[in-house]
Amino acid sequence: MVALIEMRDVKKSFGENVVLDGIDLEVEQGDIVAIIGSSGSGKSTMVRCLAGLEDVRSGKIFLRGEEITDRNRAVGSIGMVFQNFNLFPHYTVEENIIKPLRTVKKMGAGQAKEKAEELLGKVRLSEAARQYPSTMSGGQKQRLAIARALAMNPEILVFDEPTSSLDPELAYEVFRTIKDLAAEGQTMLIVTHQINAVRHFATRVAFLDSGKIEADGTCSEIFEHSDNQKLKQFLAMVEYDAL
Amino acid sequence: MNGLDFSPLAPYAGLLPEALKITLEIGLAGFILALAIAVAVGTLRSRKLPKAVRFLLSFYVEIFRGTPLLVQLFFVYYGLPSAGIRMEPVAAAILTMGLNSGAYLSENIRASILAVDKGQYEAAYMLGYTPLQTSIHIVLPQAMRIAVPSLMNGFSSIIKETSIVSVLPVVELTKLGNQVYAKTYHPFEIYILLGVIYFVLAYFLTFLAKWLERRASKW
Repeated sequence: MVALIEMRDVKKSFGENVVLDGIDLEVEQGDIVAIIGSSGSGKSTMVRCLAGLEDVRSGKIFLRGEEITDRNRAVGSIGMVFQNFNLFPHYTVEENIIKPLRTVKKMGAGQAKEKAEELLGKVRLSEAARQYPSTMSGGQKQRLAIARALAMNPEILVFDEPTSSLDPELAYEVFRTIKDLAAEGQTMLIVTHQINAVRHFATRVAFLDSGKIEADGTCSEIFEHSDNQKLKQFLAMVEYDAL
Repeated sequence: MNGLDFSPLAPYAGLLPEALKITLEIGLAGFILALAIAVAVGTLRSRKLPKAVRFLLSFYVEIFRGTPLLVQLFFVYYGLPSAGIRMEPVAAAILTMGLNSGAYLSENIRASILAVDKGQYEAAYMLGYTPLQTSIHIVLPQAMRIAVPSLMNGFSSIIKETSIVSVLPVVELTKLGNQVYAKTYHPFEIYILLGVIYFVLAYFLTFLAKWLERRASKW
């Protein structure tokens, strides 16, 4: 069976600085892949390349077997949730969902509103529909960003450190939403530092170091049974951090 | 100096509404034209463009910012007919004010566009917006909010600068003042009155700007 996403020997540099040094990754339909690794390991760049927000230097990216390295063919198939939310501040909460549906999908007003109501219910934001994003907490903003991305029916949802700028209780709200989506079978790729949360929903974990995937496996393989020294060091560091 | 005496001006009061109308017409139409030019030029100049287009736009902005408004006005009204382009004085005034202010305001719009967070472009891109849709629906509304104070300053300037149009054969406020002066020899009263009228117009725009800012600040 063809993988939903395949990255083959993807390389990327910023000037002299090699950030991705040959990434090979396959994501199957329904996978929830957590990308972990220390700062500067290339996690964010990797998902930004996948999303088409950065050009790759070499290598190929496929979506259901069709090459999408050279963008645009993948637009709409990959949903992105950013660390800084990037909500549209001039739209109300519901308009953040309705307007893209109207503009991009050319959906009728009634249908778009219905879809927005359904998605806001799903991320528990129905009450805030007519507020502006500036009035919401970070956790609420991120849940709205998730709903907005879901509205476009993406085949895969990519999260770039979705909880890094949130307090723990707000991060919990966001992870709860991600877990709900996992239960529904939504394919996701999540870059995060919060490895304890990852254990609750990730079907696979990929550990990045110096622009390469050093280890890739189930939660148990990565967190409990790996012999990879770099991974062990990283996990020890993260656990110390969590003390 | 004798005391202020506005009574000799009274017979001419009936001419004021028409002159005020022409001033407002030139100011408002000039501003709308300037805004349209500024949004188009400012948006284009905030993007990566072919060198020739970049040069042309920059040429327009620099020419209109680097030469006196009066010279531009003379050029449009008296100069262009030599090239076969003839227009009414009001149209010439609107075109000149629009082009002149458009050049200044385009820089404000450009700076405001550049002030919009890069993440907004990325979010729009990921949702499938085209670059044009991103400009119209996402970036410009946010840039315009940033630009409101400077745009309203521009509007206020245009209203005041319409007085320069008095050099053309059109009776706007300042020209009316000059004509009444020639008949009554009461310059002191006339120009005080003119100053007050311009001030009230500009002051009203300041209020309008504050209202717009308040409206925009709901988000």
